[in-house]
Amino acid sequence: MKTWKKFAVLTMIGALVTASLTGCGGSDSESDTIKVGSIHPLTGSYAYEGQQVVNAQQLAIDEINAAGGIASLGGKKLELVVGDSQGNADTGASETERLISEGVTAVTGTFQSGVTLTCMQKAEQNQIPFVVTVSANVGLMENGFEYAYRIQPNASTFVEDFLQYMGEIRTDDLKTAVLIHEDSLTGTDTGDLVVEGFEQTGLELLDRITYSASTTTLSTEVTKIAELKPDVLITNGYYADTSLLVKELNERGITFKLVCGVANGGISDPKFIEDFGDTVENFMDLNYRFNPNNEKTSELLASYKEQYGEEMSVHAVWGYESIYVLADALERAASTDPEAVKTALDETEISDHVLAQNGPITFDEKGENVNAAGVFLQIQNGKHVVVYPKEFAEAEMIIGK
Amino acid sequence: MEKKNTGTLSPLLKRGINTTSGGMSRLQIIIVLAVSIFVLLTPQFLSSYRLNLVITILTAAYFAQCWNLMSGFTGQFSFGHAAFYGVGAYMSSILSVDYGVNPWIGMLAGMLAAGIVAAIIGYLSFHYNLRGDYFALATMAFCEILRVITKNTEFFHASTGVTISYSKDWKQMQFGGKEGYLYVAFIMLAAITFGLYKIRKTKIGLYFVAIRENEDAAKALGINAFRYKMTALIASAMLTALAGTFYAQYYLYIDPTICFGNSVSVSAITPCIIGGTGTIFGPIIGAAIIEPISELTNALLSQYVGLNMVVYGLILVLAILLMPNGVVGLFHKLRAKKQKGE
Amino acid sequence: MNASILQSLIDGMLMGGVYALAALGISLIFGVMKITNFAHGALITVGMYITYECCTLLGVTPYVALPITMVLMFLIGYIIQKICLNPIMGAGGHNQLLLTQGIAIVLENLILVLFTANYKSVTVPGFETAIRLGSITINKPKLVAFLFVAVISVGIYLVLNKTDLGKAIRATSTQPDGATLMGIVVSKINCIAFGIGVMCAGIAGALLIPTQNISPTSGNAYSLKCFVIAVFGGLGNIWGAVIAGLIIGVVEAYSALFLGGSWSEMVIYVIFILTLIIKPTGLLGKKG
Repeated sequence: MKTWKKFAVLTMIGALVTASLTGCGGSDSESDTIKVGSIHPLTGSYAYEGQQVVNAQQLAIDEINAAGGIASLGGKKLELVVGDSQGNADTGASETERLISEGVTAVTGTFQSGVTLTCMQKAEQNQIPFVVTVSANVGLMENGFEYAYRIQPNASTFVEDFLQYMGEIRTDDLKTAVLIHEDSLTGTDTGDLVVEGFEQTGLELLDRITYSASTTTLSTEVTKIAELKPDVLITNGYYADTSLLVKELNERGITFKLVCGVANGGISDPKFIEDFGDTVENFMDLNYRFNPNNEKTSELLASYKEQYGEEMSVHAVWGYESIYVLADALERAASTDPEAVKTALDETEISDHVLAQNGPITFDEKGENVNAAGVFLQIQNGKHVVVYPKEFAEAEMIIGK
Repeated sequence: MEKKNTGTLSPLLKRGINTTSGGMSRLQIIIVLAVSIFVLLTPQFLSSYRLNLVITILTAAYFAQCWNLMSGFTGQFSFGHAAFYGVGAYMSSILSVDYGVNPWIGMLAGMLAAGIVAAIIGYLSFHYNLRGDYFALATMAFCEILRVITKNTEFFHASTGVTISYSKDWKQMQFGGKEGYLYVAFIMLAAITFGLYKIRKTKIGLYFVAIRENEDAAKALGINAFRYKMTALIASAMLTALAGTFYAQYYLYIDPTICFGNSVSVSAITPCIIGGTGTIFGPIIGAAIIEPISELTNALLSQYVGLNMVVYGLILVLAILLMPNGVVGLFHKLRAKKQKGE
Repeated sequence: MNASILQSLIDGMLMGGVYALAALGISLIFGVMKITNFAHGALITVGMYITYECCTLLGVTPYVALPITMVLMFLIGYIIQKICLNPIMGAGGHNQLLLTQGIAIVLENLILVLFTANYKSVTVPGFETAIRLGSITINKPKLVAFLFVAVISVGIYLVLNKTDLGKAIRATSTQPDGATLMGIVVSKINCIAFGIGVMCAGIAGALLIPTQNISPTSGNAYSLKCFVIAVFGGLGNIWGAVIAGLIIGVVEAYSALFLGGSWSEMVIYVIFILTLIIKPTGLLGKKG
């Protein structure tokens, strides 16, 4: 009896193996939709952020399809084919291969720079365009890849903007600063660049504190900060660790004249305000952002909230825009051939976008968006508002209250 | 001392010989040859994605086979094999990216480095007589230490990781298309499997098994357990380093978590346990089962976030519950039952 | 500087209390059944989500919800042992290890499926600010957790040493064959012991909720540390786990203070290896 059970399981497993090797999942046949690949961490530590990006991509695709699909291809509809990187580079790479085998025209992804790199490599080897949704690492686009494009500002642009703007907005009672950041790829990248050009801000850097993003406590780090009593606290991190930091700061009633993030995944997230309410009023963050003064933006935010029942995060905007960039390229290429789409992507010039950047989205020879930029946003009256530079500002900046 | 005739060990070793030894039947040889030829021909008819899966199976099987050498045959259960994997990957990559050393030479350096790391871990563990779960936990801790060191040291590019430039040149250990990687992975797997098959019947192989079955008894019979455990560990580590270099050259990017992460160590163990620990073909069968399942759950359930992993985990749990001795163990049991019945 | 040394000592002790509680479960499970339970981190997360659900459904604080969490977690542990672990108790340790890994994967992703990856949090009224004593501050939720640790470890100690059940558990852990001869149903005792171990993980999870946001991977960060503590204190030794938890908490705080957070993990693993080498039976364990 028992042996029979075992035998049944074995047969089942055998059937599964054969199925996957001979290929039941993917069909390479001519389909009536244009497939766009999307690889993000949907399980594991960054599932929260990954899901937001994919949600926004789906929203963009629904919008485009509702408006009649890709006109130059006879109104063909777009279809998002989703892959889960699980936060692992090799899973990401094999998912890229899978999506390509399912006939995607381009791949987008992946939120984590390390994973993005391996996925990008697979796309390059298969000569399929790869559009980065979120990944700030500078080195990513320095590998000479021909099929890679990035819309968002990289870490160096973020930090350059941060240092410059900080120098410009610094008031005389802001003298000292402490930098605290998580120690993975993104955090270290950002931290190094901030320290390198810190003179520009006119502040004195008292200390640089690093921690592991998966840490369970930051109380010692907070003790250190409390001891140093800086005027400005500069922080880079993801959602979970930043909120841990703020929680511990709040409990001890430690305040600063200014708390400012550099591409901080916590401060710029709507949920952050929900969690901390008044206590994070006037926190600032230099980050990528949608353009608040664009009418399309408010429509987008409203429809995202309607669709998914939560506020749209900034990460999500880049997922949204990546689909529009691809749709634009498909429209001009009038073809789903990856080569034609790549040529079209090279000539991208989109002025009608929702991003807070001066000028159109257009790529240089490395594939970086030439006009990508960061802006200062601030939490005011329980809302994120852009406060600097002036051309995007929705409200006056409040410092040292 | 340990040169004692194996005859005196017979009561102890009989069990070992019975469970792991015995020549291959003609049918088995035909199956092995047929599968080999099939694998070598896959580039002719499989798509790039399926080839990637075949390469994943081969490398997973190789990695598991390395673990099998030490944990399956000698019974020193390691839960930190990522340590050697990572050392191999880092050594060849850092040497080639920062010092212009050819990766083929870097690979040898990686093996050497992994051997040294293994010698240190082995000396500390075996000298102080760590066994069973304690040894497993110690290897895990060593692996974590290596992760923290690479993450915080500029020499290893800290958390930035190492990017290897793409060259398509076999001299740079890169093979353009998938075929080259597939052949190399196949050769690696075939070599280690053949090696294990041969070593089983030698005196060293018997000592390994004796130590696994009952270390104290083996010692009492004059086997220098320390020496043979060290041999198995160092050999396993050096071969594992090769898998690390292969990974780096295939994916062209490594970072501390990719190399030293806990999931890497688990991936060395999973195929062995599914297929049958301490057997020659268990790890290969295990890898050929578990890797496609993981791909398939990803592909079929990608719309249902998280469900892919739930199903994968359930299959893992079920497989262990229903086949505690792996697929190979189950076959042995079925055969024994059949013989008994007839 | 003196203030921050004292502050770190207090923070470390409080954090250590939470670690101790979580490690207690691992220690007990290993002590009785020799199972290295790699699902412990995931079970802490399960405890967090059960408590979270209770809090949002009933509108109570995690402390009020604690009894419910404890009962449910005990049942979950009991069932896991009965269905998944009892059948392979005789097989090699590596089977149990991979099996618990598999269980961890299932639990973590089941939570993801049921609750999505969105971060959740529960606030306890009055706990937003810390207690102030001069320049020193004391985190309230962690202080409460610390007190719970004291109560629960005494409770477990009493159960193990003063009750018939405890006698049976101890007999099973030292002499499973002998215990069977004495008429003890070993498989049942195993289920109970595993249930208690998992309950400890659940309590730790519940008490951690006010200190952090929870997500399906929250518990994983505690997993390795719990192993370190359980071994450091001596596997199977309750007071060992408590003392080791406190020590590791303080060591972690001081290494973060003097070495920086990135290196502090290293110190813990070095202590771990030294323990294994010098005294594998742990701080309070008998001489090997």
